[in-house]
Amino acid sequence: MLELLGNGLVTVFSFKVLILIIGGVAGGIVIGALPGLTATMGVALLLPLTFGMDPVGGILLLLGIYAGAIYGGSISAILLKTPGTPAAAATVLDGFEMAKRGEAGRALGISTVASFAGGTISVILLTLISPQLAKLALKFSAAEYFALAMFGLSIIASISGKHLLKGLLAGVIGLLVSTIGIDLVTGYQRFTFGNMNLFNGLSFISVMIGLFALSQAFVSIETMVKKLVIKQKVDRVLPSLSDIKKITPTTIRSGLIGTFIGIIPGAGADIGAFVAYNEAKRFSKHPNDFGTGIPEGIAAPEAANNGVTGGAMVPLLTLGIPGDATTAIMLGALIMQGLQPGPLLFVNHAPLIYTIFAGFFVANLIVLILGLIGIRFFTKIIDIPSYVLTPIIIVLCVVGSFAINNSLFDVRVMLISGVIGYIMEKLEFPASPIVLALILGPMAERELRKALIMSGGEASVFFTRPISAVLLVVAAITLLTPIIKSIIKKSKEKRMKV
Amino acid sequence: MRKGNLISAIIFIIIGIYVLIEVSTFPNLGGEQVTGPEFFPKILAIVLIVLSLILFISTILDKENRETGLFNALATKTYITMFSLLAYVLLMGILGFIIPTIVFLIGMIRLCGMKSIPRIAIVSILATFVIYGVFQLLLAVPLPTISFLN
Repeated sequence: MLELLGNGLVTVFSFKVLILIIGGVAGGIVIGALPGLTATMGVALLLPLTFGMDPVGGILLLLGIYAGAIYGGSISAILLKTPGTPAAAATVLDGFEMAKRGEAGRALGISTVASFAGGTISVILLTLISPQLAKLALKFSAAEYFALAMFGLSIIASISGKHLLKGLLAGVIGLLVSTIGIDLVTGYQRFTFGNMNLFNGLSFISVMIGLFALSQAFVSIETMVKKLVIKQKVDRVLPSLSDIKKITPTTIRSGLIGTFIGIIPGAGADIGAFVAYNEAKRFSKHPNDFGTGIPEGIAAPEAANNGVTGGAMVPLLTLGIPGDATTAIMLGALIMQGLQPGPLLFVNHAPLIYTIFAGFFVANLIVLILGLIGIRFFTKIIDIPSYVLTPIIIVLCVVGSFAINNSLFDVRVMLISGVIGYIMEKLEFPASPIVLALILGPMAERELRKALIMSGGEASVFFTRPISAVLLVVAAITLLTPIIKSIIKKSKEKRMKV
Repeated sequence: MRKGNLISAIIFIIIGIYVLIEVSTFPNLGGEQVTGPEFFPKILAIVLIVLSLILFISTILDKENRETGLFNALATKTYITMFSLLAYVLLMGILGFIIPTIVFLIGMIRLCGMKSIPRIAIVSILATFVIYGVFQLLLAVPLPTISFLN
């Protein structure tokens, strides 16, 4: 393993790859810092940049954007009280308070160091955990993969928040859309209307660009704001030794929390940041100081949200199940490069995997360096007026969806997805379940039918194999708990009214 | 919101029924096996109809009604954007990338609120050529070309 990592580092430190990582991180920080542009949107928009690149460079560019954007969100959270990405929402609580006192530089410095530490912890865990998990997954057969897909799908209920029913509906629609195209088992054409472009199904990257980038651009046209003004002066960014000492325990704990939340499919950086913030408060000797601008209150969410980045890569690389919406796009990127994520990736492409690990570590290091040196430059970027930015984003959506297959058909798919995404947003239907369903749907169907064919139509095969049985039970619990909770809550409310 | 919920529930039910009708025409190649091409969509269609009925009924029972924001004055700008985008994509199939993009950007940036026309023009042309340069020239990612040149 160490040898593979060493070779990986050598590849990463070649001029071309290093430039791509630096560019990715810098671009990511800018995207993250601009309110309204999320990490998912950034990766979706810039994915087409990688089509002409070799796998290592392309994937590391996207990972750089991912790590940079999650960190960059804290810049506007601290300076503008507006989180640049949902992942930085918890950073506003203490970050802005500290900046208000005239210590914007100190807040940004703490956020930078914590992000680096959280990201590094998650990369180390990613390197240690995923080969073991992949080894285990090599023994999986169709029944386990079906159970795994069901587990991933059950997460839909938990990420739908208060719109549980609408989340489930969105998930089912996504699953139905995933059946469009030639049935892989029998070769029969389903719902293709004889259109050749639909034989291989809808390109889910187009759907994602539409749902996550274009629909957001539509929304931001309505909420076009005047130029945001930064009042705070950014002074010394390098954190003092006493600050570092203060945040170390919180940072390590939050990095670990973030990583493990990232590993759970469906739970992303926003959830990780809030959980870590609450835990930091619970562990603290002075919990009442949280929210008044203390270092731990910035370190906890920032270490956790960057911790999620490495964690979310674990199920993606080992099982082919994305840990959050951003890694879902990464899955598309890997497939476009001819790499099918899953346990076999560790057998057939071990050097590549370890190069990705090494490169991801370097990306976090660059977050630290750029964050400490270039922060003044990045605070200037927030000044780009959104009336220029939004139209350019729309053009990039078009360019990106065209580049997937060189076809205007994919652009139309993207356009329709964008319009649907916009309407869904207005009607409070969550969009992430559709994407999760689009990715896991084909896997669930294929493995279900494979397992049934192998067992001769006996459904008991899913429950006699231990791993599959456990996963299915966990999936059922994950799916049913929020449903039962919401029913209990509603009946309580009714009783209160009567 | 109520109207939106009811309409989406009805649309989903129609989709569900359509899928059920469509899958009934699928050949059952596997004979007695439950695992034909119709198996998965059929289950999904039934779940979709059930969930939509729940949405429909719970919306009727729920008295609360909020604005969706789909029909207020601000949304007009979004609808103009959608139609311009459609025209832009259609034009791109004929005229290639550069000309439609410049026109689209000029219109959009104006719509979004930038005042000075010369500045809008400069920003639009600059942005178009930067995108073209980065994608087509630097990274060899193809962009649409003028169709009669092919």
